[in-house]
Formats: sequence, C-alpha cells, structure tokens
Amino acid sequence: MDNNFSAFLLADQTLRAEAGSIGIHIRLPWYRALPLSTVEVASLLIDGHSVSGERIRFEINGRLWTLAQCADRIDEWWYVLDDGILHVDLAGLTPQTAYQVDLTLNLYPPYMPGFAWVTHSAKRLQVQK
Amino acid sequence: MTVTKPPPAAGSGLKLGVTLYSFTTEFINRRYTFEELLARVAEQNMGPGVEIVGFQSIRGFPVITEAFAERFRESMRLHRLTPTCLSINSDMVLRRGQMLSVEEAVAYHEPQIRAAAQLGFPVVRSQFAAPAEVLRRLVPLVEKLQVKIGPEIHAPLSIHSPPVLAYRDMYAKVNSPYLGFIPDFGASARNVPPSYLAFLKSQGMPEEIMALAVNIWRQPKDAQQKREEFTALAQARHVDPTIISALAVMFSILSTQEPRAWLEIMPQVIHIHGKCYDFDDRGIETAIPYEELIPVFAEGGYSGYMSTEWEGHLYSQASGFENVRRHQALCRRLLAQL
Repeated sequence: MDNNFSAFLLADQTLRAEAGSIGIHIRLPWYRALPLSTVEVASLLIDGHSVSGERIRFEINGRLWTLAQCADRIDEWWYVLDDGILHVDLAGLTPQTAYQVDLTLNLYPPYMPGFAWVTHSAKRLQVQK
Repeated sequence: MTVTKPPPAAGSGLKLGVTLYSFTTEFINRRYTFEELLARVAEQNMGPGVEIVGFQSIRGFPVITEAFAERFRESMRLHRLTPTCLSINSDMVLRRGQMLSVEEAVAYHEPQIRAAAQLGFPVVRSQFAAPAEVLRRLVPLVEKLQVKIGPEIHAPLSIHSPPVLAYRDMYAKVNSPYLGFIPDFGASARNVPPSYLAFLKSQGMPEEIMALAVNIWRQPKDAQQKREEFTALAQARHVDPTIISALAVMFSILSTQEPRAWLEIMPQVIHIHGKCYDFDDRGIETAIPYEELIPVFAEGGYSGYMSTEWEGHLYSQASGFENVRRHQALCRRLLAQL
C-alpha cells in the first residue's frame, strides 16, 4: 500500500547511468531530518529482480556508505530537503530504456520506540546518461 | 489530585499561533523556504505565535550559526511574530533496538535547549521517549537559560499513563517553574478523521482490516496496548507491513482522553498543540472537540499559546494554509463565545 510519501520517495524521472552502476535519487519520506542509523533500505527490485544490499551504496552529504555501515551512523544526518542517492552496482542496463523500480524504505523514528514507518514506491524510470 | 478553581472568568488569555509543521507538504516539496513560510504566516495573520521543529526547519540542527540566529530574530521583528516553542526531539533510539543512557540523553538534549535560547524561544517541547530523570538533570540548564521544558502529552498517552505519572511525581519533588507539560489535542479525539479513513480506502486498504483497527481504537483501553494488540492481530493474519504501518499510525496520533481531564494538570501546561485534521461544512473539526476543549482551558485559566498543528499532511496533499486558516477561524469563534 502507498502512503502519502510514496510518489515523493523516488524523486527523479530517470535512473542516472554511472560508470558500472546506476544512481537512484530518493527523498526522505518523513517530516524531519533523521540519522542514517534509523534509515533502512528494506528492498529494491529492478524489473522484478531483487537487488542484494551488498550491491547498494547510499550517498548523503557527499559521503558514501554501505547499507551495513548506515546502521551505525548516528551522526550522519539526512536533512529533509536533500536528495539521497542509491548507487546500485548494476552494469548492463540499456540507456534510454525504462525499467520498473520498486523500492521499500523503512524509517525508525528515533523517538518512537518500536515503530516503523514503511514507504513503498514503484515507478518506471528511464536510464539517462 | 483534583484542582479546585474559581468559576471561569469571561474570556480567556489563550493566544493563537501556528507551528510550521503544519506546512510540511509545502516545505519538503520545496515550494516554500523557511523564511518564505514565516512571511506567509505573517501575511495571512496566522500568528503572532510561531513554533518550529528544529530538525525540520534548520539544516544542521541543533547547531545554530550566529548568522542564522540573527536572520531568524530579524524575521521575527520584521513580521511582528513571536517565537513560542521550539519542538526538540528526545531521540532515545538513535541506535536501532538500543536506548540511549540517561547521560547520553542529557547530552543529546542540551544543545537543543541552547538552540532555543539562542533563537529566543521561551519554551521547548520534549518527548516522553526520554525518562523523567533526563529532564530532572536538565533543570539547572533550563533554569539558567530561562527556557521552560515540557514533554508533549500526545496520543497514545493520557495524563494517567505510567510515563506521565512518573514525570508528575518528579515535578512534585523538584518543583521548578521551568518544568511543565504540552498537551496535544490529538490525545482528546472523538473520532478517527474521516479524511484519513477515506485516504486509506482509496489506497486499497482492505475494509475488514480497517474496521479491525477502528474497533480496537474505540475500546476504552490504554492506547499503547491497543496499538500493540492491533499490530499483533494484523501480523497473525499476514497483513502486508505497509498496511500495518499505515494503520498503526492511527494509534500514535489519536486517542480518547476526556477534555476535562486536562484540568488536573492545568497549572503545569506551558504550551498547547492545537492538533487538527479536517473540518466539516460548519467549520467544526470532525475528529477533535474544540467546542469542549477551548472552554475547558479557559476555565482552567490557561493564558499561554496554542500552536495550530494541522497534521493532515501525513495522508493528504491538501493545503496547510487552508487548514490552518479553518482551525484558527474555529478557535477565534470559540474564544469569542466564552
């Protein structure tokens, strides 16, 4: 089910082709800045194929983190007005072709023990150089 | 404890204002900058009180540069607005699955309270995630800075929930005028907002799961228990996690304490969140009984600010400005009738 941030989560109309990877720009689906330790990429599917977490790096504030590193980053903040970028190690996507991107992002608002805010978004995005 | 009060005086000293949280949609979609929101609030006469969420409005919060602070104070002067409350966060679960220690939590709150003093906010809103001991240890700082601090009594809590009682005990012992509470009127709801249920339905929420949640929500039980009960039942039925999350929010934003119950803590109320979701054709808030709440706070002699806090942006793309306007029109009418 979509929530009110679903359309907003996948911020771009495109997948950005990078050297040997693609970049997916995402927005923080919440009202305030959060530290990376409370942000979790729950699942990413491209054309229905699940992408394992080891192939994803998260970029914020010009720094890159593996998903495993994000869990410890209580001092790296994702500000509400900034795009985060998921860099996905996936060669072989064809430029100008559209792919179905299906992302679920979990947030654990740090003043709400035990609560998870789950946002799902699916969009067809075209690979652009 | 029952507080005996003289019969209500005519009128009320309750003052209106707004929290910029009401304009979350406008802000995070980059349609208005922070300074543009302040200008718009002034232009639409939604003040004089202004509340902000530090971690929303200010990049790098709780670090405040002197340049930012000076610009903010200048904006307040220019627009004839008054800083009322800085909403800070008691982020006890910064590390997933692990609570901050009391010492860490005190250190986490301190710069946020200093930020309030630097920006000229007389009150900070904290949260019950932090145990009472954290605020007790912050008393010397808030007294020195002359900034009042209070956790927000927000759904699913009531004035008799165990964490609130623990704070009330501590307050009775410490007896500092800088310690208080901030009622959020979502804790005195009479209904789940119809617009919220309509949104869930439009997103394909199964009706029987929605009915299950609403029925549990209506039960006269502790609200936190109700959220847990719903989550467990839904998980047992293998309901999709996005659906559970969307409905569990209902228990976190709305609960059903009697409006008159607030009288019991009235002398400790330092600020109010005038929560609202939607309004009917007569301008009545459909979920929260303002026609009862405003007279109760007048009777209790409350004379501080109430920030209009429209939270429909959790599920709706409607205009924050339009909903704040409706809420304040309703409150002005009710205040004039006292």
